[in-house]
Amino acid sequence: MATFLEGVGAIGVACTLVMLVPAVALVLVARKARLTVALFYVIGAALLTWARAAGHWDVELTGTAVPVATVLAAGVFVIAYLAKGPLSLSATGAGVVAGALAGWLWQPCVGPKLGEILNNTGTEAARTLGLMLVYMLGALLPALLLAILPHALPATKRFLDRLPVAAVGGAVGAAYAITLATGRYDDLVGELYRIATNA
Amino acid sequence: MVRYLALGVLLAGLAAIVWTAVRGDGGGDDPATSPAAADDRMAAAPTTAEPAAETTVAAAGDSKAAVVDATDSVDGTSKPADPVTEVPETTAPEPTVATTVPPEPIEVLGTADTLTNLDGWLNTDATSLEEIRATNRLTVVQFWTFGCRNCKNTLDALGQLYTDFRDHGVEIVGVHSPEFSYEADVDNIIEAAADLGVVWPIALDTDKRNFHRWQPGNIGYWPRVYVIDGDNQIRFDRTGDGRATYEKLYETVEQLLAQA
Repeated sequence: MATFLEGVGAIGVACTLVMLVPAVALVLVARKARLTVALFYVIGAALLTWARAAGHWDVELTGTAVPVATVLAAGVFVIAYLAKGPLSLSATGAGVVAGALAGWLWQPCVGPKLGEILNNTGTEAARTLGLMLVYMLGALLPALLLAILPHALPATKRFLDRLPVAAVGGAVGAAYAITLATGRYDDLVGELYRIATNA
Repeated sequence: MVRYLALGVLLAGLAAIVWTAVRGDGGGDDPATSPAAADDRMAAAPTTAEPAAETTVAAAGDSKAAVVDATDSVDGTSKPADPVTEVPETTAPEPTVATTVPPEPIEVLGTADTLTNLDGWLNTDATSLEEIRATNRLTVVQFWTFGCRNCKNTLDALGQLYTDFRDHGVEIVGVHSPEFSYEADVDNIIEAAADLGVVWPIALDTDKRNFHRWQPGNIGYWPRVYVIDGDNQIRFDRTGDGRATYEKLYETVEQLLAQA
């Protein structure tokens, strides 16, 4: 529970927004598979963040990795939009890949619980992986809640299903891909955070 | 149907992993771990003391610095028997067995890298990490950025460490590695350092070259703290702002000073 709460507490931190913004945008785009995309985004993000900390994934985002990441970032939004249903391979794949991409990019500001996870990935693999999933469930809670919203409150479904709403998500996705290609994504989020918080 | 089954198996597996992990998570009963308490955590670790807001540091008392060799506290003696009123053998006290365990030796985690391609230094006349290391017994290197909440949570604990051990040959180097562009502005860094009471040397790592070189494998965490000994060996390496982490840092510095 403490790990989950620390994840929730990290929602307002600029470091976390780098991962959260694409998740929310992807949920807006994936009109027919919101919950699937959100859940698999959490799984992908947790897996890759854990794999990096454990030393299983050390590919740096430089050189040829940049265009690959850019194509993936743009591609997952298109695929999520085209997903035909909650159990489609495209929805699960888009969610996992988008989450993994976010986990690859993420450079977290680390609190006590996340620190405990990251410091122990080498010695307690299963436990730290589980805790990382729990942390991500907290940190990405807004995206999950947005995905659950049409199921919990059917009245919101009509609004969320409107094309302009998906277009907003798509615009964020396009900005995500472009700023990734130019190496300015962190700066964009930082500026937005600074403006929002008057920092 | 197969998809439903596959998805069910996958989610059940994940739920099992999460459940296993959560059982060892320490529960949610500890208020110190709640987000609401985040700002208070480091303020209390290990003791509260306000770091001086000046760039020159006045040494404080030696209370914590009077390091006691842990083996001194081992009591292996029993009171000698009174020669007049001899105690019967059956009631004689058993010889006391030493129960105080000496601290475990602090292992060497590797050789420390240097700091290169810096954009300058603040709060010091030094121009390199080597120069600082040469004039101190231990160097605490922390990668931080002033916009990071978790980094700010550690500053009181670092301030306490600085106050207690500065006069005993411990120097702190805060390597400022900005995540966002507004954190890279030197004027903003100077202003933030003054506001936050960061009086120890700050190395400006604006392009994060050192941040990434010290944390290889495509990882980069704020804050991350190391202790480097006089032989340039890393003796402590931890990520995050946990109170336990910075209490352990304090103990490690204390122990290394005692061993030196």
